[in-house]
Amino acid sequence: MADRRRIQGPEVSVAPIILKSPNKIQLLDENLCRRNGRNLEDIRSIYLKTGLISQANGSAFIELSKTKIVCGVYGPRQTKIPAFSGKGNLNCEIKFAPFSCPKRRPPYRDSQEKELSQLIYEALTPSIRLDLLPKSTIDIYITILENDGTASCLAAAITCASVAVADAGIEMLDLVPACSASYINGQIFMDSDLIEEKRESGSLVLSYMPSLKEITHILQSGEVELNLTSQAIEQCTDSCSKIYSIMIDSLLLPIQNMK
Amino acid sequence: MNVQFLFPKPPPSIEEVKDADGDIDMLLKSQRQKFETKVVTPGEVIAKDTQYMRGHGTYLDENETHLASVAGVVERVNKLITVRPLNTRYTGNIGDLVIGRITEVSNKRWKVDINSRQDAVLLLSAIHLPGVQRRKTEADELQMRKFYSEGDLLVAEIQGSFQDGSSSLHTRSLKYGKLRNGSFLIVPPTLVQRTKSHFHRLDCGVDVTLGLNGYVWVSKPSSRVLNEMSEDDSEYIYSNENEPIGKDAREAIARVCNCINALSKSYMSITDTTISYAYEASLNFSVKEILKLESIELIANQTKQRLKA
Repeated sequence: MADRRRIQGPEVSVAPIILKSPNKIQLLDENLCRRNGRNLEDIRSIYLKTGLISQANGSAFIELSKTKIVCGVYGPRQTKIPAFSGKGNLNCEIKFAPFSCPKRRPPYRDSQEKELSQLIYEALTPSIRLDLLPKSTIDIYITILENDGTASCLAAAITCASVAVADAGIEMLDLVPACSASYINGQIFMDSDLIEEKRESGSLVLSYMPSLKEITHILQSGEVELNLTSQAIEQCTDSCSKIYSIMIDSLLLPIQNMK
Repeated sequence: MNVQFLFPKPPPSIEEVKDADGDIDMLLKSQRQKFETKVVTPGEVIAKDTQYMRGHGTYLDENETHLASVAGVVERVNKLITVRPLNTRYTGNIGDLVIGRITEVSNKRWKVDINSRQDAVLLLSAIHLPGVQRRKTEADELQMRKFYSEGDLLVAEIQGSFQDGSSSLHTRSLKYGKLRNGSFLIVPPTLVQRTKSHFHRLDCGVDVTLGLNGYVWVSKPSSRVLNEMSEDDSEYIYSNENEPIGKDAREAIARVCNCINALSKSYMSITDTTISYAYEASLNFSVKEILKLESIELIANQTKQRLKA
């Protein structure tokens, strides 16, 4: 019998997977095409579906190639602490699944999750008619199943949460699509993935209400020139309008199936 | 000079359409077509005209344009435009029959979850107290948990609603009160329509109570005929004991529950007729098999065909 005090290795040994250093990967080929064949201003194709979580009042799932996010909306329901407020409360919580990133995420709430929750709250609040829901709370729970670029994850989470809120039948002014961009070597990479994000000098996340033509939230980090920023904002609003049509389709699908 | 008199003619573009209440539609035909089964999403323009009235699920922007604020079907009653969303929370109307669950016992009142934005309140003075008709006493106040405690299910009527979306209930009739001997399920509130009665006894020997808030109670019929004056019966309506339920009755309850689930999954309205049609269609399957997707589809199709016939 083997020595039980020692940790036995597995019977079959497998060579470790060596990741290529992101600095060595070429981001653009000679035709200005990115690694997965899209142009600089192209976003990844989106899959969006509502109503996956049956016990939630509204829910949505979004997938941008590797990025996968689910969102559940509960409410409007009674606020637990009976402090009077004439407006409804919005409560956002985002969670990275332990297996979502290249490195394991511990299951407890860390500072990045708190920050992202706050950002999503800020992006969504202008669109939701909380003035119609006194003493009520809306809870939004977002789980990131796979993370392929944090900025694009934040943008996808906002898009997904907005669709889930609409799916719950909560009154809102407009849907809020969001889009991200990265600045790499003075060029704008729309909807960058994890490898591109490692090389960026700065990033921009924009949330936009297309039918009202209003920006609800804008987040820029890093170093960038002014004209590049204004160009990025323009490109992001364009992409948001494209995402908006996908959001509408996903919302109308169950209604049209009903008929 | 030739003078000609023509017969008066009604303007050709206006077509008289009467709705259920006998109201005449005043819109032009082309205008009306704009509204017929139109589905919208939040932020979408419904109408640019200022003549319309703003209903639920819509809002006006600064240009007085009507925009949708929920995703759903546009409905219009003369000049009032509303958007009805596919799934939403229940909003209480006076006189509605609802099923609820006690969430909290507080000072002289219970809080009841009725699938609404806010919990409803059931005042101690709004329930049927045991014994002959009398005022509530302090003794009643101290033993409120004897009537309803947390987690109890009850059927009640909405007595009034408040500005914040909450409502108050009453159970002053013997029709209402605590629910026993059965099974509880939830369906989308839009599937339950207002009817004369929401208490149904099906042919299969099962009682169904359809709450307008989408909560449904399927139970064994009570063997006791209640009398308002009897002291014993008043004690009995707050009892927590289930009556003995035989195997056949349990199976029938489970079958009806699964049938209602099948109807709600295929988004069909839930009434006593649809339930009994679905029940008859389900007899080819075992109770467990009704939950499968294929059988749900089959049951829904058969029910639809019988409804059309």
